[in-house]
Amino acid sequence: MKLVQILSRSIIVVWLIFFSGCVKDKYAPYYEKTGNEWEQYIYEISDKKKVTLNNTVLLVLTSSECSPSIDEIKSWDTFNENSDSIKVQMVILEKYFTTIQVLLEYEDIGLHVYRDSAYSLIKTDLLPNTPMKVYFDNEGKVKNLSPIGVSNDPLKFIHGS
Amino acid sequence: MKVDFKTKKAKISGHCRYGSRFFKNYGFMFRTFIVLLIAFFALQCSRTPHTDSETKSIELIQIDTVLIEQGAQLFGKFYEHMRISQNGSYWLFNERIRNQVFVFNSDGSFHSAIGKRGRGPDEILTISSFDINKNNEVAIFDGSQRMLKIFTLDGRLISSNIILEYADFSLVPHYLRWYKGQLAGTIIDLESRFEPYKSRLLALINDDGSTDTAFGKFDPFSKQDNRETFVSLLAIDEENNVAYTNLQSSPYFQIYDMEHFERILYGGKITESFNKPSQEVTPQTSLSEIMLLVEDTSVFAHIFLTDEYFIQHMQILTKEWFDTSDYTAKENVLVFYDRETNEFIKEIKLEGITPLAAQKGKIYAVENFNPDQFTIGIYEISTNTE
Repeated sequence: MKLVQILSRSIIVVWLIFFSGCVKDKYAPYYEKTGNEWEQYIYEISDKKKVTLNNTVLLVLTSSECSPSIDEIKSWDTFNENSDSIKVQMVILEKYFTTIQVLLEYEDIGLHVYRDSAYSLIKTDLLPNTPMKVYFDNEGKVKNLSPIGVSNDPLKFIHGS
Repeated sequence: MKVDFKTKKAKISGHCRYGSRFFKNYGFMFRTFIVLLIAFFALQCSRTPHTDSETKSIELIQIDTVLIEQGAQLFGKFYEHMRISQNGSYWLFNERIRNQVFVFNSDGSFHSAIGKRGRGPDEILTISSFDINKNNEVAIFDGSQRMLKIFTLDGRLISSNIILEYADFSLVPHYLRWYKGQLAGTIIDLESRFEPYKSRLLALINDDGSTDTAFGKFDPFSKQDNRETFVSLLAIDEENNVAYTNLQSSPYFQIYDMEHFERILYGGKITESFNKPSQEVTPQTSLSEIMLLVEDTSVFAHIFLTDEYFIQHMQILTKEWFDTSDYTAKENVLVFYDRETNEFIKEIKLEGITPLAAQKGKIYAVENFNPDQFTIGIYEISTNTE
């Protein structure tokens, strides 16, 4: 009986490892994108302002995401207010300034926003889709990335667990 | 020689002897008749509906432009849906950012905002569909909570009920319509979600959220279409008890008798601007591949009814649309059918406007999507019989 239990648990563990491998593979090309490529993209969409993304979490989304994404963004807003070492910023793909203004005011979000008015992210192929979050480490490398709206725990994401 | 077919038929069934004589005398004629009969029924089954008329010339003539004013409650972005109250005084839009239904007077001034994001009695998680009836009551289907909420035009909650609790179908978003105190919606049967052509099409729901009946047949075009589309558009003529439905990816439409729940017609034709993907698009197809496959294909965004016309609003998904997600980058085409004869009349390509609604011989179309200059143009449908 014990042997069966151990065997079934082993199978579950093997499956979990297998599937976690699949998830990593799915996003693997996007871990290869360099900090420079991202900084160039931000430079292009932010009136040619130079930025560094070291120790930054970028939340990348369109202006009309669903409720779970908004809930997670609010938890990142709270995290940002209390964090000295890691800053959180948003990239919103939206043509009109007022649309973003309404989003920030209505949802009471205080994060800094870069507006991608021409949806140029799609051409850069920096991410597979939106909404997604990207964590750049202290060297500006993409350390973690995952969809927004799945978990509301910023620390878990930053530590990659 | 005179042939009494009635008598002969009786003899054939009763006496083989006479039957053989019949075949000897009239066999060729009879066989030809049977072959023609079979061919006729086969054609009936396989034909795609096709009606055509070139006797009417239609033009859209702009008669007004209304700027929708930003009021005390700023709006950020509207879905491409608009409902108009029966007397035309109120215009309703589904706001994407605030998740509220915004009501404006027909001069563009702000009237009210209905609902707010949340799980409370008068709150909504997702506005999946909304509509206004002749008493100016606004029904909102909250798809996330599966609730039907009914409000006054000023935003006071009238009722809030769980909907489709035991239903074996799902309501498709955007097309819940008031019909004689009930709500009608297009549906997909849960067990047919992988074979939608087997599904029923329409459901009537009571205002307390319970299901009255589900009926109709899915458009068989879904079998030959290369997209897995479940959304059927809906327009209802309450006065004449008829419903028009149109699968989002199909050039064909259906007309249903709402009193007897029977199909009256499967009609329509493939018009010049219609284009479907050349290869199959499945849920497994990657986003970038989907974008390539559906580039320059057409979908139907709305269907409209006026006294004279059934109108399909077709959109062409251009490369620019995929590059920019800018609504105005989609090409818009209106396809007109005569409601009396169900014949195709013509399609009109629109320049720079996106139609959202029709009422009393007029088309209401967005001229500017910028929330600071959100503008609705009103266009009269002008008809000349040639």
